Amino acid sequence: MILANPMMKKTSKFSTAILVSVLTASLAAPAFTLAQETTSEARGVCTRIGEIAAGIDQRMADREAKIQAKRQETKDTALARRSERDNKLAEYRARWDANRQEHYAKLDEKAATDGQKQAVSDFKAAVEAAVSARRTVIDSAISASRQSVDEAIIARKTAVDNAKNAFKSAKTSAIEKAKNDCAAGVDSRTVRETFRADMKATRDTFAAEWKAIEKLRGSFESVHATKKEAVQTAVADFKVALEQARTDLKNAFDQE
Amino acid sequence: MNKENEQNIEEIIEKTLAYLDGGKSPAEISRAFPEHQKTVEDIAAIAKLLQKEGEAVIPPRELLIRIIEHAKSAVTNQADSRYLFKKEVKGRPSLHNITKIYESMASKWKIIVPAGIVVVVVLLVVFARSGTGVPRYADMKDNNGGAMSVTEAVPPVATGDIDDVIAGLLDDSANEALAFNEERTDINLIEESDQVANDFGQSYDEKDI
Repeated sequence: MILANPMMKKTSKFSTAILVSVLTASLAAPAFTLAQETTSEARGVCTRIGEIAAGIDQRMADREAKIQAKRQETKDTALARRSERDNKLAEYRARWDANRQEHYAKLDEKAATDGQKQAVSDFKAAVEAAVSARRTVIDSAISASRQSVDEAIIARKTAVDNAKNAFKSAKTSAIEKAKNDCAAGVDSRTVRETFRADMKATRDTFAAEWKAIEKLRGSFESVHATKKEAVQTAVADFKVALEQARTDLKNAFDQE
Repeated sequence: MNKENEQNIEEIIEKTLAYLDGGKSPAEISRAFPEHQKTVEDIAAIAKLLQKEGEAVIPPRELLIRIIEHAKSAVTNQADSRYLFKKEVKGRPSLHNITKIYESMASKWKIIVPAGIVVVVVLLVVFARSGTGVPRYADMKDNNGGAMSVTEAVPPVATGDIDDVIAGLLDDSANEALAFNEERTDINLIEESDQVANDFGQSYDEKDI
């Protein structure tokens, strides 16, 4: 009984010590885990920065290849379309020129007197001159329209290339900064957030420049509108010339 | 107590009906159940009423005979044609035939509906793909809503009439104006190219980090 007391005291102290140890360990465990996770994150961002940069580079390369392919396709398509339209217009004009000659021939058959024949001859000259003047204006308008399209394409290409280069440069800067921060031991979270903010700003800058690029279409529209007015004027002038030629020819046939 | 009363009344009803079927009068039955005279009278009255109503549903025999004879002449002979436009169809369409047709249609629909869906999908795909190859200028209209194609115009026949000549020349003038409008379609190429270039800004994906 006497011996039991010291033993009990020892056991009690031992149990208490174990209990305290367990409690202390359980409290310390979460803090230890959090520290471990933060450390792994820090190691993750800084170790992965190369991989992240490679991913962005790959996407940029893919998109750049698509841009180049699309540019070539646009150029080829524009040339093909223009060639087709030119051929169609040439065929059309040849057909209507031939038809005009048929009409002249019929008028010649109809002309009985020298006066009428002269009138028909004058009519032909007037009509041919009017047709030629009109076609000159239309050809000029077509040429100017194509030139404005080409200029718009070039301007856009330059603007897009500038925006692309700015994007690349900003991306490189963001990557370099992240690497330097990692090497300097900057907190991983800070490294990540800084990189994210830099890249977002880069993307926003590209989007803003893109809006400016879209406005380049306006120059083509104004050129086309101007030339369209010129064509309409040429058509109106042609009508006036035709009416005059009609009146003169009719007078010649009516009078004789 | 209530249960006993209910059982008594049930017995009275059964017995009253049995007596009535046996030809007993309500008065005689009441004497058998002096304490339930009212109940017996009610039961007898109801039974009599039901019997009377039942008799009214069934027509008299003579009327029945007349109805059947009339029905015989109104019913179409099975050999006669049922349809004016289908001489080969005789008699009523049998339920078996109708069932057969339904089953045939049902089985065919299992094939027709999926096939139809496939055809529609294929057509949509072909249409969508052909749409990308068709230049937009083919869909553009001039200010008057007319189709923009110079080659569609056909010159007029030479008649020697001065007005016909002038009309033809005016048509020629309008057609060449359309030729200039077709140049405008090239600007669409720039828009198509722009979309590809705009995607460059999406090279950075936030999911990367």
